[in-house]
Amino acid sequence: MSRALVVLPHARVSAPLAERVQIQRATEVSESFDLLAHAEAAESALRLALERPGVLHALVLAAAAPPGDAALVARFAALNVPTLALFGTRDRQAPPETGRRWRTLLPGCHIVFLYDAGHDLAADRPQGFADVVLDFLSDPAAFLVNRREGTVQRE
Amino acid sequence: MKAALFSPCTYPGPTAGSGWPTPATVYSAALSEQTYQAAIEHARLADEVGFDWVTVAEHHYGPFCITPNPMVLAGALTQVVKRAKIALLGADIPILNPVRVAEEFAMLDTLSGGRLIAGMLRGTPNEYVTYNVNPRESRGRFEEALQLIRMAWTEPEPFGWQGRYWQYKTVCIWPRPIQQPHPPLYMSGSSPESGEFAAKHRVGLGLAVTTLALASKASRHYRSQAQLTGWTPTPDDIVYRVPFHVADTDERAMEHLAAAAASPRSFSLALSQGAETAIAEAGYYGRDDAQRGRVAAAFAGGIQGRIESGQLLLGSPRTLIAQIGRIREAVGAGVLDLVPAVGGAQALASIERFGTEVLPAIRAVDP
Repeated sequence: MSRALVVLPHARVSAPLAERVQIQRATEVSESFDLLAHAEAAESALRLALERPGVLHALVLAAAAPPGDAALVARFAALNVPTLALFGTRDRQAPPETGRRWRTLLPGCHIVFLYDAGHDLAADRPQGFADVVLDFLSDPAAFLVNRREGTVQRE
Repeated sequence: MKAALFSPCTYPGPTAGSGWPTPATVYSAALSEQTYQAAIEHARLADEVGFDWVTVAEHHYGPFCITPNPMVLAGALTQVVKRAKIALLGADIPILNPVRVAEEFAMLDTLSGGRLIAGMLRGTPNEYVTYNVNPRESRGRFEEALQLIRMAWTEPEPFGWQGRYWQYKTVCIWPRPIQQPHPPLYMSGSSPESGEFAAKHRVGLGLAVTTLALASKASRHYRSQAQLTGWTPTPDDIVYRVPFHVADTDERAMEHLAAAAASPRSFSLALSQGAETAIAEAGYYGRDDAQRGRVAAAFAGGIQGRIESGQLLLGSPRTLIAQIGRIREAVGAGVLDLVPAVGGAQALASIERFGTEVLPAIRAVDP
């Protein structure tokens, strides 16, 4: 089954309005979609998840810190969107320890550290970033299980 | 200064050939058993006479050092060595499963009541052949493994690792290390690249199979790189490994060593010339060409030459104190990792004499 993937880039090149337009377009073509939110765009992504239950099939947060709005984050525990939060091991803006805060806010979310990446995960480790995101989105419930071929030589 | 005892578990032979790997067609299980028991006895004695650390190390496929998994021997030592720290110098992390290393080190720290010294090495060139790992990846694997191990020790929430060499969906080790945030880290830092990495990541420096001149250069580089990163290594951050034998007089020590040298156990970690060249071409050695020749250089030059260049401590307690003073001055090392140069009963006497007659004097420096 094909499903739309909406990407919300880093906020410095995005804006709330542009985010809304993107999300509106995605909801026009499919009932539910995957969302990849970079950094500050995490807030828009999670607001959408709260406002439109069922619209997000899965959520990936890239180098994102939780929003500062305490009333907002208190509502996150009610969400049941499968979530993967990625952090670069060299990122100083959203360092790996940030994952611990997401684990309290979104119980059951997956934390993955992208080795040797700074804040711009996709630019620093394009292949590693794409592989882990696609692996998660292909089957979020089975993410922990290695589904790749491991045989060294078949014949 | 501090002293460590490294009893390398050398199988006493005979063997079929001396190359690497050494065929096991001639092999005695009883001799291996004795080798382990002797190493455990050395460690027990070293602990009793005041050594600060006892050391174990990893080598594969030969009699030179029959501890392919030094964590196993370290586990045994935790129950025999009551006071000294137990130093893994080290685990060859680029060829291992880093999460497994983190787990084993955490177990050892727990079993020893927080006495683990965690050394991480790239290993000798032959070890890349052991587990069929491309030596070109040596540094990249080392750097990633060290950071993954540190993360496994310090991150309490389950995390996945999307690395270049290793990928895990979830890591959450039990037990956790006793020492917080984690046991002291050391790595081999003979090459400029290693010294820079160690300085950047605040890891202690181990210098082995080296000379005073090479070690002095390496430690200066490490210190200057550490200054750039904003910290100053202490003497405890630099370990210098050297063979030793101490007797009541210089003459007696020389006699013991000469007698031991008359029945040589020339075990080698050398590969065939073609394989050595392939490893060198893969970039195993650093920018500094002196690295490639240092292993051979460290075993040339005769006894007197080796003493002069800081590759051997030999003589009476008074003589050793002077020889150690030169290492302290030239290298700034605060920890000596001492390898018995003579075996049998004389090794035990030498360990005891070092503890009672040399250690008190050198401990007064950097107490």
